[in-house]
Amino acid sequence: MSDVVIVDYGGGNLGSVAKLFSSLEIGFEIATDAQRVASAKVVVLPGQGAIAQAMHQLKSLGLDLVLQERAAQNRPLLGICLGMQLMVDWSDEDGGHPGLGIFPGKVVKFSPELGIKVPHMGWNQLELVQDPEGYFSQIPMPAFAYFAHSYTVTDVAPELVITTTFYGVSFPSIIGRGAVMGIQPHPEKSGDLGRQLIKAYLKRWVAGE
Amino acid sequence: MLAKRIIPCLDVTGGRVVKGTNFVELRDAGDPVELAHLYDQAGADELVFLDITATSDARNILLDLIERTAHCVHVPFTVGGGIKSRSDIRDILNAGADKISLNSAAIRNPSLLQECSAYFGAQCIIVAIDAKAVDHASQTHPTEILAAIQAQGITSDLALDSNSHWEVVINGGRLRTGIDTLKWAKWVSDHGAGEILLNSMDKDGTKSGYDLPLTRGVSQVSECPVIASGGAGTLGHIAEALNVCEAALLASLLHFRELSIEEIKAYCMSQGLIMRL
Repeated sequence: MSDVVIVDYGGGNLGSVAKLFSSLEIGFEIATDAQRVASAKVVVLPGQGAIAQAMHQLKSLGLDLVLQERAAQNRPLLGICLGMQLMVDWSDEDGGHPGLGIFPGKVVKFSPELGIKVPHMGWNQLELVQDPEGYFSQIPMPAFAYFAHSYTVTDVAPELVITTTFYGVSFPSIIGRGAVMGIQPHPEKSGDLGRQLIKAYLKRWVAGE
Repeated sequence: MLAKRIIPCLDVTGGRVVKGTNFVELRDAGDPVELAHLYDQAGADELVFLDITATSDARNILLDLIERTAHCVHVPFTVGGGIKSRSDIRDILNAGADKISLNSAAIRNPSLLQECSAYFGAQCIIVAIDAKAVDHASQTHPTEILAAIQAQGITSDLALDSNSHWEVVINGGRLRTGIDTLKWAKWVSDHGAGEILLNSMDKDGTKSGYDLPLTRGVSQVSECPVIASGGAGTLGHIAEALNVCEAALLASLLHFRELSIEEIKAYCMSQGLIMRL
């Protein structure tokens, strides 16, 4: 069995995330089954689109509890884009919906009043705040990553913020604690940077280096 | 800080990249997969494929092409041309594209934009707008397409008026719509477009510079990012466009190696723009 399981809950960018793992020659499985997601060494939670629908699908597959339990046990869990936004406890999207609550924090819409275009679309810089797990030890910073989102995570405890990015405001673009990490930009569309970051995460948590 | 984007555009027909002036006199510009790979390596920030035949025949050729291209590019990849339905979009995203671009279909069926944006997310829906200067002196404005949209009752007033400068055209520029470009841009931006790909039909293929007043006007009324297209001939043209919008689309200048992505980015940075190297 593969060490890496990509969760398929109908949440969107699964194909491009899978493509990234293929191109890195990393074996993975795509799974919807709660038991398989619970037992995997590393779980990747991709996603794009609406948070309400995503939470609904996770719940109906019994995956919400599995993911919360993994996080509580500090077992590797990587959220990408919407997968990161699902990790905090509240989103303002569509009138407001609870998330998985793995980290305290909320998801709010970028305000055009800041003089910015919404969605935040394109290549923006990751500024390193702290890197306790050494993901960026081989990556020159700041580095450009590809973003495509109208909502952003905010109100996250400073000790959880790995990188910030400036777009009208400074927002947490990568958050994490131990083996649980959420990435707002799309590593699968971020060229070499994305590949290096995913490799570093897997090296840390699959190879245990 | 957010970087400005350089986006090579591959106009594809019959499995080949072509380029012409004002959508006619097409010249062969190479193999799409090969070019996509080349541009990915050369530092393109994204890629756009426009299927300019878009007949049902060509659909499978296109999906196969998307799949092969997706394997060799590691930046976002947009496909447009002939997309008419949610299932078309699903097929194209499944084949490996990251975004789709709607053009005529959004005009003929504006609810498709709202529906697809809600379903797939605004971040993967680009609305392409082909704009042409209005000649107030000599024209009566067509009303048929406009009337058909307004009859659906979901859009605001889109009609050209005495203040209009640019009209939306469709079918490769052959068909006028009677729709004001700025009104349409604002409506799509407010109703699900994640980006606007704005092409000046007057400037396309002329190498005389992007239509800056048009680009600035659309950017001012749209909440979403704007990609300028049509008219690039020099480094200066590209930098001046990027001062009024978020991204520049480039075709023949790159395909025929008149400029490289590297020199474009270096020049834009020397002009104080933020670029990803």
